[in-house]
Amino acid sequence: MRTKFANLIFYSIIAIHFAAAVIPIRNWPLTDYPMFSAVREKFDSVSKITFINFFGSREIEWSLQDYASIGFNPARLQKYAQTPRHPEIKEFLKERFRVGGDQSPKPDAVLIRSTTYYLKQSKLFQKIEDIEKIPYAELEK
Amino acid sequence: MPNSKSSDSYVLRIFIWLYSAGMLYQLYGFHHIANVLASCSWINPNIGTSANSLHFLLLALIVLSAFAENSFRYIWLLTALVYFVIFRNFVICQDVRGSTLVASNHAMPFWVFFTLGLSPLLSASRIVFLLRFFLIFSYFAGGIAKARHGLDWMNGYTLQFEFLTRHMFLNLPLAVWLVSDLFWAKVISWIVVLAELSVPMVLLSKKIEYFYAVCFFIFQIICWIILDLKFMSYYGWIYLIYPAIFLNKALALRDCKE
Repeated sequence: MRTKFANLIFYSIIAIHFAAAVIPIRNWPLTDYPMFSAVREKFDSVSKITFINFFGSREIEWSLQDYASIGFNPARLQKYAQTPRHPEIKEFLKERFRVGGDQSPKPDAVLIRSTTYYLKQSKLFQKIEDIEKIPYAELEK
Repeated sequence: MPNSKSSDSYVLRIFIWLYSAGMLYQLYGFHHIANVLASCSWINPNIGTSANSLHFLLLALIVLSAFAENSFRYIWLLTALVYFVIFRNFVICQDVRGSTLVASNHAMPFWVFFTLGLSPLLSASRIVFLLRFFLIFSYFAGGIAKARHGLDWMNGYTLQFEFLTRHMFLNLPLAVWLVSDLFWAKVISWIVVLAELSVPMVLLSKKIEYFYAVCFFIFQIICWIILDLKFMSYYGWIYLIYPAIFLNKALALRDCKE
């Protein structure tokens, strides 16, 4: 009986690690050890989203980590975080405020800061920063 | 010459001493714990448990486990439980981005403590096997995670993106140099993924396993130097299983000669 139980424990530990790798399960401490596993298509990135006049005169900033880690639809947010481009970010923002309902606060405008990196052979990367200001009314269209 | 079963007992004993010392050193400098809100707990938000008390308890348990293991072998399970409570309970929930404070490398000590706690049930050979399995398999799992995207992960851009993003925050000129050419970024990507996916070859012989362990260790050191990637923090101490194996062999050889 003891031997059977020992075998069960032994093989279960191995099996559960295989399961975490294949499925994948990421519920600490069960993890598939991803380590840079998300695919990146390009190195265009939306580095910051700023909500202007949100909750009064304050400016609220979302960094890439912020809008990747919170929100109503984690699967979709993860997709946006991995391949952030302006049209998808606009869709994300629309849904974010639509889900919040009419009573939720709305900013006057949204600033989307994009940072694009280029590499030319062995030259250090150059970055081009683009700031796009979108009045909230446009997001609602 | 001791047989392999008793040899594994000695390996385990050496590993326990080395690992305990390593984890005590690692956890002693865990300063984040001082900033953790005790109210952030799904066990009981009103429990008022001091995270610092739990931290001290964990350190004490590791010391006690290393010394008193023969008397009460399940003490390692208690150590695993306290470690779990601190990291899963307190550290993760304290911040909406708290999961970034507890990465996959923090998971390894939990599995080591948990497995050591099973020593009354499992033989020393099986415990040693599991410890080697956790280490080697973690790289195979990483390879699967990358290969899950098909060939996309090896497009070169992924590595460039990850390296450049880290460079943005940490200023890593070596990282930029390494991936500045997309061709070489692709080559490195393929090497990493193929090495990780070829891990099952360790089943062929122990020499191959040792070779892989050394290669992965060097790989992590390179990542540490180039990317300032401290994945070996918390995780790396499990590599001590191999010094424990070699130290045991050396001591056994010396005893034989005598």
